[in-house]
Amino acid sequence: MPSLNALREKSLSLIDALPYQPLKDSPTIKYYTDWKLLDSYHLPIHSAGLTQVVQPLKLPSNVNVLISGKELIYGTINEGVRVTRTRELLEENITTRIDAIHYASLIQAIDIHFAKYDSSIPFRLTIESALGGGIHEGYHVRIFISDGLNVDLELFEIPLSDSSAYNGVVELIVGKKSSVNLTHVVIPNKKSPSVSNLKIVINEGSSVSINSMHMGGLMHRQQINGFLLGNSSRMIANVGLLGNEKRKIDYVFDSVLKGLNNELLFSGLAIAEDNSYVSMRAIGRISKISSNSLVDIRGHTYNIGAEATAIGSPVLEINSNNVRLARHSVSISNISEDILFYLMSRGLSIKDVKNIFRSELISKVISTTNDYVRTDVKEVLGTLLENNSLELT
Amino acid sequence: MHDSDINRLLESSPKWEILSELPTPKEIIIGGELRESVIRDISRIKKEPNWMLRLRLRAFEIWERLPSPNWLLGVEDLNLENLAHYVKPAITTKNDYESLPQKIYDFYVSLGIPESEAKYLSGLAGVLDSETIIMRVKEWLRKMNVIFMEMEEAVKKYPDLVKKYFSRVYPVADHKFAALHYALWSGGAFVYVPPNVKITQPIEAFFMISSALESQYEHTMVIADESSYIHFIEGCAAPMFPKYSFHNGAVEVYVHRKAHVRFTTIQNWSKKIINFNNKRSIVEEGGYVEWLEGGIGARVSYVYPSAVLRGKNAKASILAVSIANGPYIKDSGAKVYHLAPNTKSEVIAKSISSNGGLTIYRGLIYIAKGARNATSHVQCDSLLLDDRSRSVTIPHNQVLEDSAEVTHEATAGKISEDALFYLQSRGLSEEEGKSLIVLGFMHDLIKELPFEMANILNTVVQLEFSKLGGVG
Amino acid sequence: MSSLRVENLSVSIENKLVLRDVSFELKRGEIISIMGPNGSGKTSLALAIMGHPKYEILSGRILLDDEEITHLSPDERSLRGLFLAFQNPIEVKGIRLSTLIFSALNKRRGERNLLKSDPKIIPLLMQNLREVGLSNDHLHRDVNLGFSGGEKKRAELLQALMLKPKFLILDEPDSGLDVDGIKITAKKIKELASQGTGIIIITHYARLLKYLSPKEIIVISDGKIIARGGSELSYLIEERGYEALKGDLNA
Repeated sequence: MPSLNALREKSLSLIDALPYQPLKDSPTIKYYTDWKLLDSYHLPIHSAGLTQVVQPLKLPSNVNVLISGKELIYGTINEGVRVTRTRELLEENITTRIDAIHYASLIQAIDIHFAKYDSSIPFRLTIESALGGGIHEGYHVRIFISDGLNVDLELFEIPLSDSSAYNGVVELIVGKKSSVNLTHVVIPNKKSPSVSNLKIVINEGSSVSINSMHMGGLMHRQQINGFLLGNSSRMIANVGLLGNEKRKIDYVFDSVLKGLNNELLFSGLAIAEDNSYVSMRAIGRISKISSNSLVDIRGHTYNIGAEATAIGSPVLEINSNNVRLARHSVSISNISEDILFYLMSRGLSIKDVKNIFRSELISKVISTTNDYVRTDVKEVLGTLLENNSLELT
Repeated sequence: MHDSDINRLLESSPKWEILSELPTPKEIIIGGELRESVIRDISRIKKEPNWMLRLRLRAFEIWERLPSPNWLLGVEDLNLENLAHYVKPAITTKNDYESLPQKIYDFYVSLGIPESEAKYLSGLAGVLDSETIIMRVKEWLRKMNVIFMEMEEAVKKYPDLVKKYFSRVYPVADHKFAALHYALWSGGAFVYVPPNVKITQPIEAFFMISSALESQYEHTMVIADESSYIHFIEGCAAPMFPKYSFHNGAVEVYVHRKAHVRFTTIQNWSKKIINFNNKRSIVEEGGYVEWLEGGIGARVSYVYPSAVLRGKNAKASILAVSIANGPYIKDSGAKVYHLAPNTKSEVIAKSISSNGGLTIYRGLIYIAKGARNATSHVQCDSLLLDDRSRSVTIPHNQVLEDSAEVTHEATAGKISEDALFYLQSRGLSEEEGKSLIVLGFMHDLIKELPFEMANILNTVVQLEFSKLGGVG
Repeated sequence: MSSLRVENLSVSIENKLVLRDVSFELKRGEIISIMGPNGSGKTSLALAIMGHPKYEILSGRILLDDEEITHLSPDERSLRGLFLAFQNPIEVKGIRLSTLIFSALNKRRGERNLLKSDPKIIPLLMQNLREVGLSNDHLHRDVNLGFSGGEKKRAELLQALMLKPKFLILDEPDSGLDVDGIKITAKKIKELASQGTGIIIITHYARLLKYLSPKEIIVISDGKIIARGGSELSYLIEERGYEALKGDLNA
């Protein structure tokens, strides 16, 4: 396996020659992600020159690992969990410019190994962008879950720096017969573009259940790649996308089913408010060698912004006819008259209704650990939760 | 399905065999390197007005400039320089079947064309290679001032009318092969329906390619003036060749206010044809366009009927069935652009792949800002008959209007074992059972067809699945 | 006396007249019932009183505590103490049942943060939840998403119990419920009435009414009130049906 430096060198040499995407996305909209915004950022030259413009907050008690710029801060690390710096990475094909940018801009690369996990409290990893100078700020975390474990994870990605372009790759590799509950929250920056890529590999008999909320940002590309290897592996994703305050997000969920009796259940709910751009794409690929697979992809976008753009694209690629169920459905509409009437008949105004839809998307993931004070997130969301969203009319 | 229906299907012998060859003497063949002189020659032979020559040359320039689409599959061996770009058969256009050369006459009869034309159609244009060889126009069409003639004749006789629409519905620069089409177009039908005229019996154009290594670039136009109605049918066939041929046709449909156009295509090219068909319609206020597509033949086929709903309350309905039986590719779909309020679209796409076939659905529903209360519903289903076959659906729904509603559903799967077992228990072989189930899957399309077309479709499908692997 | 008054109400939907000259009065603490065959306009009446945008008020008015609410928006009517338990409650993907209940309560209390879950309310919520026959799981699910018909009815009743309206309209509250469900519904309705809620039960069948003693029964057919009376009317309908009743009236 190549060292991080070797990968960095290789990427530097390839960057200018590679396109952001090999093919255009559609006849009308060439690229759903506005890649051009990344062009105005440059690669960090050397680590000494990096300036930390956002200071990491005092570590809240419920955060186990915080990656913020050059800092790596530990809270409690449970028994059976080991955090180390990555020395080598399995070489990925560097096929697009964003791949090359990632490896060439790595600030930190961490491995977290779960050999056992006995706690009832979720393990929380927070990644923040915190550097300045108009650079690409890259982070790579690999999380390994051993066989036979039940782990609750929380992954928060919060690009806090206005003057860097965040790109984060988190790999979640799940051993056999394990189950992982992952809460994934991404709150991109309103002034700089960001890319987040979560890759999940699920081995035999394991299941991963994701509850996520992704807000838009200046331009945020959220990529989720799921690989259901082995037999009887399962992925359930409940995803919320929020385009408010003119935010933009291109969300792509791409899953491959390779074994026997795999299941993929995807349910996405997006809200596109005024001047926002919300694109939700979900792809289910049933490979030739799979058998008795189940893919059920459902997405709905509430298009409630007068100047919003809402895009939905559910893709099915079936290479085997031995399929138990392969189905997708997508709908995009304003809040229907009947739903609005029903909610108003309980005393809520139209503005209240919109606020509640938005707040629900957020509170479904953030309130999951109930009593814990989420100082880091609260600071960022503070204005959102208290000033705008829940005011009475 | 009733037992009596099953018996009837089993007993009816296929109406036509797959031809091995259809040699016809050619008067002119223009092939070789594609140069400007080729375009000029074709225009000269057709005695075209200057404006059409200029359009062809401009298109040729665009063809040379545009890059090749990098997502096409199955066209790696397409080498245009090996193809004849223009082939004029040694037949002058007739208006009765008996005057046609014997082999062609026999072929038409075996397809039931003269008979169905007499009984069910208002008119028929038969195109062979690059030219029209027969035009049949019933008296009532003339009486209603309907214009139905070969495209070339319309260019000369009604230049102003043609100029108003030609290449305005399907743009020259849409993609590289569209530009090529406009440079080399030849043959095709032109139909103009005056206001308030409703033609109850369909008009048909039937296309044939007679030899290998030929290209066919027919251009068909259907213009329906205000409050008129017409149903236009397109049929295609070609014998089996040892080498391939290339079809790159276009259809432009313009639906004026409150008019209604139904355009049906049953494409059954042989498995050696590479098929592109560029189809688009523009629909004005209160107008309605229906595209019905049955794609059965061809080695690889790219067809996306489209509608631009420009006026308020305009509607589009697209019903497409594709079959890829064997190592073939059917890349099809539908595109609808909602540009005005209260527009509606409905797309039903069904695809069937077997014996290593690949069906791809590409859809686009685009709702522009200002298209208040537009609604669209898309349903695409695919059936995979065996584990060697594949299907892909790639729909794009792009909504810029908050009062619009768009829904899309798709399912993919295999034939229910229970259904197959039931049919086998009634004495059908597995292949026969499969073809019936396929027909059932295609029911939505079949029930919309005029009777004799439905019959042809039934027997074609049956033929498809009764031959071993459908290899031709 | 606090009352809900409907005066000479005529209503149309999509240019079709569905209610003609309907009048009645409901006082706090009273239970009345509106009955009629399918398509008679019972649900239209409920929706029109609640202010559904598709229904156009052609003439007449609706007054709640002497204030005219005929042209107020549905939320304004709700905040003045009106609650409609729908016949076919719609699924609302993206809002949990618990959130809906808390938001509605918070709105009434002038609470700025609509999503705040006041721990003081929770015991009452849990008690009502169990009494209507739903579980914690239902609270955490999106409103009505995947609920059976009976579960939807129970969720409507739960919301009514939590919001304690002045006037409650229940549209076919018994459909989809088994005998136990009906008994519990009847019990809760009587409780609400004894606490001062004026209640209108819209129903097709008489069975729920056996457990209650409605002060008045109003029969609607073809958008018009064709009969008013006491409980004996409901027995008559049960025995002989609406057609017979219409026949008797015409005779």
